[in-house]
Order: sequence, then C-alpha cells, then structure tokens
Amino acid sequence: MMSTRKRSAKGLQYLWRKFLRLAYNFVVLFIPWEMRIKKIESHFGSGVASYFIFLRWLFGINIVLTIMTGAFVVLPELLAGAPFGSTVSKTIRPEDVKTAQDLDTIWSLGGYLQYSVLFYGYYGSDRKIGKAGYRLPLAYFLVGMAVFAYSFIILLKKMAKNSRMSLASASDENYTFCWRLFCAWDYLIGNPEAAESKAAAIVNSIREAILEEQEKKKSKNLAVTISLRIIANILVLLSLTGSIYIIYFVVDRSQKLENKKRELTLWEKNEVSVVVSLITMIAPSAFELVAALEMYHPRTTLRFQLARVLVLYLGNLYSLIIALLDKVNSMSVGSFIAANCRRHTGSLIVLYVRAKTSKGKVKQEMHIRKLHIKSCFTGEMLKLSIIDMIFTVASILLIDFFRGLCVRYLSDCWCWDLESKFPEYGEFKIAENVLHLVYNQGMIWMGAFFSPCLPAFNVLKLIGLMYLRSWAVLTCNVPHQQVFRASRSNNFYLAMLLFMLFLCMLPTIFAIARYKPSLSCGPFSGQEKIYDIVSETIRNDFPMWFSSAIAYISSPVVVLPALLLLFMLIYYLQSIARSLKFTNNQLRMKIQAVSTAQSTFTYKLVGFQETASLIHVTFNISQRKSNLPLSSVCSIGFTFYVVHGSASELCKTKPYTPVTFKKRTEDVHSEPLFRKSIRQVNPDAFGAGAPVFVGRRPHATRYFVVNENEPRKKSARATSRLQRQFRIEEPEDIVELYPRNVRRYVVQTPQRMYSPHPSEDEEDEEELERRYIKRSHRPRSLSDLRPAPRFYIGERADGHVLTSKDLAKMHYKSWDDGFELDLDRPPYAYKKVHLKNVEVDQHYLEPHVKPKTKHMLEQSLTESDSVSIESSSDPQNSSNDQYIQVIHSKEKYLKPGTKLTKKKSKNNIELSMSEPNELVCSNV
Amino acid sequence: MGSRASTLLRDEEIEEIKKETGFSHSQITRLYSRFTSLDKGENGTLSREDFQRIPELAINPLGDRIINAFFPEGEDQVNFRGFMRTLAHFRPIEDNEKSKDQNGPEPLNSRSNKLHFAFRLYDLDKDDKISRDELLQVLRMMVGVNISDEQLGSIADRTIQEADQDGDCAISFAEFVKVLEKVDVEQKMSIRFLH
Repeated sequence: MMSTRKRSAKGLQYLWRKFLRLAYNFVVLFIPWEMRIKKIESHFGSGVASYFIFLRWLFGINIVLTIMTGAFVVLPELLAGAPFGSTVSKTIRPEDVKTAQDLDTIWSLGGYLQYSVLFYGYYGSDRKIGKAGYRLPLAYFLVGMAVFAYSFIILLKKMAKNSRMSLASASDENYTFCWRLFCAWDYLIGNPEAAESKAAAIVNSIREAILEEQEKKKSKNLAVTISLRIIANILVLLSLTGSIYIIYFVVDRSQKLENKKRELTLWEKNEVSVVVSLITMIAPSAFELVAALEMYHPRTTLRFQLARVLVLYLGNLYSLIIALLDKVNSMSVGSFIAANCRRHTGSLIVLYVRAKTSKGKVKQEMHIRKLHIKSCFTGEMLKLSIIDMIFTVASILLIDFFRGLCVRYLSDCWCWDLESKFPEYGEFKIAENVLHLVYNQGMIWMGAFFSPCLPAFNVLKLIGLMYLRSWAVLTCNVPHQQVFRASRSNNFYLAMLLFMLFLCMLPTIFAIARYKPSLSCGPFSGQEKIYDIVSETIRNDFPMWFSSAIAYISSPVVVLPALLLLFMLIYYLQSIARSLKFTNNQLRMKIQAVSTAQSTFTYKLVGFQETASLIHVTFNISQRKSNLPLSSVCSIGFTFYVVHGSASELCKTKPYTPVTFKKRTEDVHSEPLFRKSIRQVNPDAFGAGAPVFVGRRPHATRYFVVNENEPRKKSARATSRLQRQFRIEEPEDIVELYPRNVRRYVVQTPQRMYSPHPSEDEEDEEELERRYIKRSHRPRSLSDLRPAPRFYIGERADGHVLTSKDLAKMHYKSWDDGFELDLDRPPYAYKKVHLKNVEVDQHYLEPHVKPKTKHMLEQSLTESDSVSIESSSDPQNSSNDQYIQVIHSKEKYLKPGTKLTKKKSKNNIELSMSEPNELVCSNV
Repeated sequence: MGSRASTLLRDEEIEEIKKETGFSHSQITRLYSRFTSLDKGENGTLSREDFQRIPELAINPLGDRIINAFFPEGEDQVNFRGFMRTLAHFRPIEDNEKSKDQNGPEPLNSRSNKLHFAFRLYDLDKDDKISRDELLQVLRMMVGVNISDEQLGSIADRTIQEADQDGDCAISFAEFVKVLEKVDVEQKMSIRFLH
C-alpha cells in the first residue's frame, strides 16, 4: 500500500519533471531565432553570436516602438482622421497626379506615398478627432517623446542588468581547463546535428581557452608595446582629422564650384558623396591595420576598432553638417531647391546629412514654401533606410556570397589556391556589422518623430537582416582564425547605442524646441512651438488647480533644488556603488586566499591523518594574559572553523602595508582582553587562514567559514558565491560555509542530502545553527562580553557548540603565540592532554554558559558600514583590484600555494594572516 | 516483450542482480527487455557492435570508451549481469539510501564509484593515473582535426598543471576527485531509470 502510493508519487514527480522539460523546450521555440543563434554560436563562437543577440534585442525594442506609434498615432489617424483627399494637406496636387504612379516618384517617396500616414504632414491638426474625441496632436507629441524615453529606459536597464551579471559571473574558477576537458560532452545528445554543434562548440571553447592563454603568456615588453600603442593612436588621430578635413574641403570646393559654374560635370556633382563613401570604406581597414600594431587582446581590439569607426562616422557626419550648414547659409532659396534635387544621387551618408540639414533649413523657410518639407525630411530617412537595406543585401551577396562561390568553384582552375591565399572566404566582421546596426537604429530614432511608420519599417528590415545575415554567415563565412569569448554581459555595444540615441535625439529635440511648425500641414500646424500642445492641453482641459500646480512645479524654485537633489543622489549612489564594488573585490580575494590556504591545508591534514591516524592533537590556544585555556581537541576527524570578518576590516589591516598591519597586531595584544566587536578580531582569524579547532568527530572533516558581519544583500550574494566555491564534497570531507545571512539556504542545500553521514552530523549542525541564530540576534552588553567563552568539545554528539564570537576570541588570543607554542610541543603532549581537556573544558566553561555575548552584531553592522565606505575612498586600496587577476594568472597563482605548502610542512597550522596576501603581493 | 523478458530471467538471478546493483524488480525486467532488443545476435550477450548501434553512443566522441567500460578486461562479450553492473553506476542516489549504514560494501552508484567510472574512461592503461598522452587522446577525440597538436598539448599541459597536486605530471584519482568536487556528479551521472 505504502509502496504503491510512494511509487505513484514518484511517477507523478517524474511526469512533472518531464512536463517541465517539455514546457521549457516549448518556450524556447518561442524565443525568436534561438536555435539559429545557438547554431551560429556553436560554429562561430560567442563573438559572432553576440552580434545576432544584439540584433534580436534591437528587434524587440523596435517592436515595442512600432506598437507605440502604431496603436496611438497611426491607427487613430487611419480610423478617425479626415480621409484622404478631404483637406489640402491630404490631397495630391493636380500637377503631380500624372507622375504620381511613376516608379521614379515612388522611389523618391513622392506621389501617393508622400500623402500617406508614413509622414508627419499627413496628420491632421484637429485637436480632437473621431466621436470619442481622440486628441491626436497631443498623442502624437507624447508618443514621440515616449519613443525616446522608452529607448533610454530600456537601454539603461539592460546596461544595469548586464553590469550586474558581469559582477555575478566574474568567474574565478580554479579548474577551467579540467572542467572544459572532463565535463565538456553532453552525454544525452542523441541527434547527429546536435552532436555536430556540440563538437563545434567544444572546439570553439578550447580555441578560446588557447587564445586566452596566449594572451596571458604574451611577452610583455612594456616599452615597445607602449610606444607602439602611442604611435598607433597618433596614426588614428591623424587619419581622423585628415578625413574630417578632406570632407570639409570637398564640401567647400563644391560650393565654390556651384557658385562659379552653371554646368557641373558628373564628377563635380558627386564629388562629396564619393569622397565620403571612400573614406568610410577605407578608414576602417586602415584602423584594423593600425590595431594590429597595438597587440591588444582581440576583445579589446574589437572595442577600439568599434570606437574608432564610430568616431570616424560621427566626425564625418558632423563635419559634413557644419560644412553644409555654411553652404546653406550662403545659398538662396532657389539654389537650395537645386541642391535638394541632387539629393538622390549622393551616398548614404550624404543623403543622411542632407536630410538633416534640409530639415533645419527648410523649417526656417516653412512659411514661404508651403510644401511638405518635413515630409521631405522624413522621406529622406525612410529612403535612406531603404537604400541602406539594399546596400546591405548587395554587399552581402557580392562580398560574401559570390566571393564564396568564386573561391569555392574557381580554385580548382586557378593558378593559386584561392581558398587559402588571396580572396579566401569572408570572415564575419563583427565590428562593422554591429556599427551598422547601431547606425541604422540611430536613423530610426532620428526619423521616428516625423515619420511614425519608421519603426514598423525597421522591424521588417531587422527581420530580413536577421535571416540574411545568419544565412550568409552559415553558408559563406568561415570562422575567425582567432575565436574569442565575448561575454554576454558586454555593455560596449549598448554604450555605443546609447551614445547614438543621444546624438539622434538632439536634432529632433532641437527641432521641437527651436522651430515653428509648418502652417499648412502636420498635427501641430498653427502653433508657435510644437511643445505648446502640452501646455495648451493643460490650460484648457485640466482643472485650474492642476495647471497652477504645474506652473509651480516648473518654476525655478522647484526645479533648481530638484536638480541639485538629483546630483547629490547620483553622487551618493555612485559612491555606494564604488564601495560595493570594492567590497566585492575584497571578498573575492578572500575566497581565493582561503581556498588556496584550505586546499593545501586539507591535503596536509589528510595525509597527516593517514600516517598517524590515532594521534590526537590538542591545540591549546590559551593566552598568557588571560589565563583562559580554550582548547580544542583533534581526533581522527577534524573540524575546522574559519571565522572571518568584513572586507572593510581587512582593509583596515592591510597586509601589504606593514605599518598598519603591525599596529593592528599591537592592537590585538595591547587591548586588555575583549574587543567591542568580534569583527575586529575576525580578520586575524581569517588571516590565520586556518586556526583549527577540532571536535571529536568520527569521519568528517568540517569547515565552517562563518561570515560574521558582512551585512545585507550584497554580501549575501557574495557569500553565497563563497559558499558555492567552498562547498567541497568528498566522501570524507565536507567543507561548508556558513555566512550568517544565507544560513537558511545552506541548511536546505540539496547537496547536504548526499552527505555520507547525515544523521548524526546534521543534528549537530542544526543545533549549532540554532544557537547561532539564537545568539546572534540578541543584544549583548559590552561589559558582559568578558568571560563568555562558550566552547564545548566533548564526546557528546550534540555537545559541540561554538559561537563565532568565542572562536574569534580564541583566534584573537591565539593570534601570535598560541598556535606556534602549541605546535612546538611534542606530539605526546597532545595525546596526554586530549582526554583531560574535555573535562577541563566543560568544567571550566560551564559557569559561563549563560547567554552573555551580545550587542556585537548590530554594532559591527553599523561600524562595518561606515568603514567600508571610508575604505573604499582610500586610494591605496585600489590596488586590490588587481588581486583577482594576479591570483588567476597561473604561475603566480601556483606560487603562493607551493610556498604555503612548504611552510606548512614545517608547521602544520601556522598560516599567518599576512601570508597569502603578502605572497600574492610579492608577485604583483 | 516484457513478459518474454521476465520469463527468460530466473527469479534468483533477479534477486542477485537486485542485491548487487540496487535496481528494483521491474527495472531489471525492463532493462532486460532493452538488453535483448539490443542483442542482435540473440546469444544472451552483447558485442561492441551492438552498443555502437545506439545513436547516443555512436555520435559520442567518447562513445568507444564508454562501450569499453561495459566489457571486462580482455573480453568481447558482456552478459546481462555485467551489463547491469555497469548501468548501476548511473542509478541515481535515492534519498533513503543515504541514511543507510556504511557498513556494507559501497553501492555501485556512490559518488566515488561514479567518479571512478568516469575516471576509467580517461585512464586507458589502467595505471590509476591520467597521463598527458591519455588526455591528448581524449582531446583529439573531442575536437577532431581542427586544432593543432601543439595547441592541444598546451591544453593538456594546462589541465594537468591545474589538477596536479603531487607533481607527478599526471592526474591521479584523488586529484580527479578534487577537480570535480564542485561538480554535482550525483546528479549529472544519473539516469532516471523508469521504475
């Protein structure tokens, strides 16, 4: 009966799991292009995949933008607005009707297209439309702003999330290679295609590993590299200024030519666009060559390349704009139109810029020429986007596809090997493609206000791009020679996008704030300024008190303090972020130090255990001053407590600044007995690495790393990582870590379930924990602290209780002489002492069992808080940032370990606090 | 199918297997039917070819190693007992098993046995050490011809360097265990056999 029920429950559980897995697989189906991206990732590495992920993310944003503009602007206008042909602004001029259907007209977005919802000019200026009284102009304005606001928010949110992730996932694993080797294959793969992908992924990951190694090993001839880099940067700067100057010069020349001559040759007409496109074509490759000089890590190279190309683009754009503005200022209206006619011929960039300048110019002349100038402007945007799309397709076909075809099929009958020598197969150029995306999105943002359909168009374009690119990548491109790992949490693309968004917003905002909207068309016709729509609505349609409230709020009296407050807030948050980062580093460093200390230590102990299995060691960690014998007993098994304090404390006792360190130890000794808070002693304990307190425990070696006073969330995260890091499970050894804040999780960790001797020990621990909890939250008075050693060690299974405080005290007392003295004793002494000690202990300690350790928690919390902030501003501490890297680089990492081992062979337990850190430092 | 399988399997055999491997009665019969369906020669034993027909093993770069693990030293056939003994390594550790006393012999699906199974996949010459050459072979199997020998060698070196504690330029079982101590082997090396 029981068993059947149990079985059915198990079956249900199994079914549920199966269902979950199915559901998960099902959900994955709905993540657009997930499989495609995975496939690309496995073949081309995460660098290339990051482009596609970025593309997908942009796609998502554009969908939202489309929904926003579509639902609130386009649809209402279509449904409730005045129909086509009803007003002047919605009718094609009679003289245009004839040519309205010509391909040429449509291509230049004239004709019917010009009078459609695509453009700003089509939207009516009636304050309310339809029966429900939809305020279209207001909606238009608000949606236009919301597009920017949403883009900003989503970008920043993503960036914040990424940086959070990069904090969390900054891995400091010790066994990267081993894991890569031993845990690479997924044994459940049964599908040949998946197997192929997996194999490709393994190859990639190994390549990445090789590359990282090579980067690490690269001989660092600093002088040469630095000089090379300086030269490279000078070269880049030169080429940037050169290109900017050339563009300005060319525009200037063309202007003069136009003034002088009536008829221009073909070259003279297209000079500007050709020059600009030549520069944009050549300069990136030049930058690439220059980047080879610099010898950065490929990831860094990519970033530099991206940044440089972006600067180049922007520089070109802005020089063009400035030059054209000069030109425009000196031109009459007539020549302006003439200039406008030429627009179609130019390259993308020129088009783009012309569009921009024509907008500024045109609006000034709006009242003269009652044309749909803004429509022209947005028409340019749309056209630009279309042309861009066509160019992309063409370049993919030409540069990748046909090249691939040629190389593939012609190499047999060619005089050299096409596949390995000159043309080769194309590589996927991440930098340029990402920039293309950013640029494209910038155009959309720029045009979105005046052409509400632009995002929708962009969505289509991105879909097309996704398929085209992924197809091209998989069919025509070869994986990079050097695969490098691009982290998912890379904020660089996003930072560029943010920059672009800002730049693209400027013209729109400028136009909104500066120019008078056209009189004849558009939702804002007849107003003085576009944003007047808001104030007008507030004035007319809201109650009096509201508008007065708004007026009050927007007055300098409120705005200035609010601004100030914002600044202060930003400053405060930034300083907090800095201190948190610092603490994080400290904790990570600590983990590293402890883990090195522990691993070597454990090995020693285990070896020790094997050879002299029945030697009982007692560490009598008494201190002369206090005459308080605190002892612990070591038998076959070991229990091992490391109590360590907050990072801030560690900073205080900077191990690498001997002065402070000494002071610190002096502190410890000079103070009569008891410190206000455990925290202060902790680092010593921690640094001692492994003061060993040993309980009578048959098999288990236990390590508790009690993170006493790292308060709050952040440390919870850090320590939970710590915990993972430390959770070593071996048949004989269990290393566990008990940060206070996450204790509850620890108790429930499933891994505990696998503990080979759960019954007894679990009880034990729970007991221990219960007491921890009980005690730690009770306030304690300082004076009471004194005689509170609460430390039972005995034969009883559950009689093993140690409060961290006591431990700390013990460490503190034993700091200098305790251990060494004891260890110098001959082994038989330990033997003798062992059994007595138990009794003595209990005897001695029993009177003090009353709960007396108090207060310390709260106190330490507040103190550590202030200290942590204080310490973070300490410039000296910034050197700590290097720790992780230092520890990571292989040789350096190994050295401390070996040294430690040596030391330990001399003296089993002595592991002074400064040791790991100093060793690391010496390698810096 | 199931009934046929159980008829061919004597009860005392099942009992013995149960004792040895910890599988339940129904699991044993089910696995027996699987065994017979794999057994194309129908002689009560499986050959290497029989295993290679399993797609998961066929495409696994380490498939041959896994198949080898089924065969006792120097033999070409494996009978049902041997088959079950190997599979028992992959039986998940159940909740009630952990609380059992440790007096008896360690069950085949214990963590250390699982690890040892994995270790043997890499340790070709059975000297209880994974040498550089053995690592290289595994790497070669996994990556095919895409990466040069030199690079693979450096990977193998790095791996050994990471794991090696006693400086013998090979990975012993203890070191192997240490490397994988943070890997949830109990979970990863378990197959949910139907009950």
